[in-house]
Amino acid sequence: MHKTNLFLDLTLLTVFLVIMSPPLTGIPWHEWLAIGLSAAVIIHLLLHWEWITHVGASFFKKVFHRSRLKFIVDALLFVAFTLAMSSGLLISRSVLPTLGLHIARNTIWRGLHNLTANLTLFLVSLHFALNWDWVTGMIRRYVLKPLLNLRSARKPVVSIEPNPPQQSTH
Amino acid sequence: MLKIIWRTLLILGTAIGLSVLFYHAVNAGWLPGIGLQPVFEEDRRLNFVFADQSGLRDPAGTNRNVFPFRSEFNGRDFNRRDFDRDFRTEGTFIQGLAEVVRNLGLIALTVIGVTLINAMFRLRQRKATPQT
Repeated sequence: MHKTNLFLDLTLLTVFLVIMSPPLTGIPWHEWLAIGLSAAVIIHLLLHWEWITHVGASFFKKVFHRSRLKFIVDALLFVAFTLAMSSGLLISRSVLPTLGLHIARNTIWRGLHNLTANLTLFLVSLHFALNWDWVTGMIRRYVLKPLLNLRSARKPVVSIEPNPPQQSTH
Repeated sequence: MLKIIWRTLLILGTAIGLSVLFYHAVNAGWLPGIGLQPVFEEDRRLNFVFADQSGLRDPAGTNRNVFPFRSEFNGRDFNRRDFDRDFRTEGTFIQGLAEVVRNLGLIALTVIGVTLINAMFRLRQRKATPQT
């Protein structure tokens, strides 16, 4: 389960970084990758559902706690990401026209898309920083350790044999 | 399986609800505090800008065609011209990569900042705890 979470999270981060740079991908890829990212975010939320409900249910019992801070950051991140996605759809040039939908675009949504996307970037970095211990622990467990094991397994085994019998010269 | 479908619908419902609320908040001009005008006001402003540029509002202007439903008058071309201004797609691949590196740098800085604050808290807690 941790392994799935780790690889999904690293993929999410990579795709997010690519999406945050439209000149790198161009608009059609930017939009379609964002749609894919939304689906991946839903899977991410489903995988962490128990934590969300647990912290959400006991939120006001002990407000000043690290997990409460994480919960607030995550909730804000969800809101910012949703607003970035919705404002992005309202200025869509590829996804909505492909689906046969045409919306009268307005410059306000462009500005809002920039604002919410930058806010999402800041909250993603905060989310990542607050979970840094988990990330490093999992990378050590699932990436570094197997690599070290593989390296040690590849080392040539020096066999210790008894001294060969010496040939008598006389 | 039913549980997963239900949870997915809950997530989607929350997201759609937020989006609809946001859409109406912007359209109704509920967010002037962050410098947002209602959408219809922005539309009107753009129409005036275009009218000024083309001389539509000025009787002595160069363009005397005041037919209000020309294609460029708040039409697709006009919107696109204004809309594409300051759009960040007109960069090169290298510029895109530079943006990725910049964003990674921001994430790294945040991680360093949070880790430092965390370490400071731990140090303070250790000092506050009497050693036996």
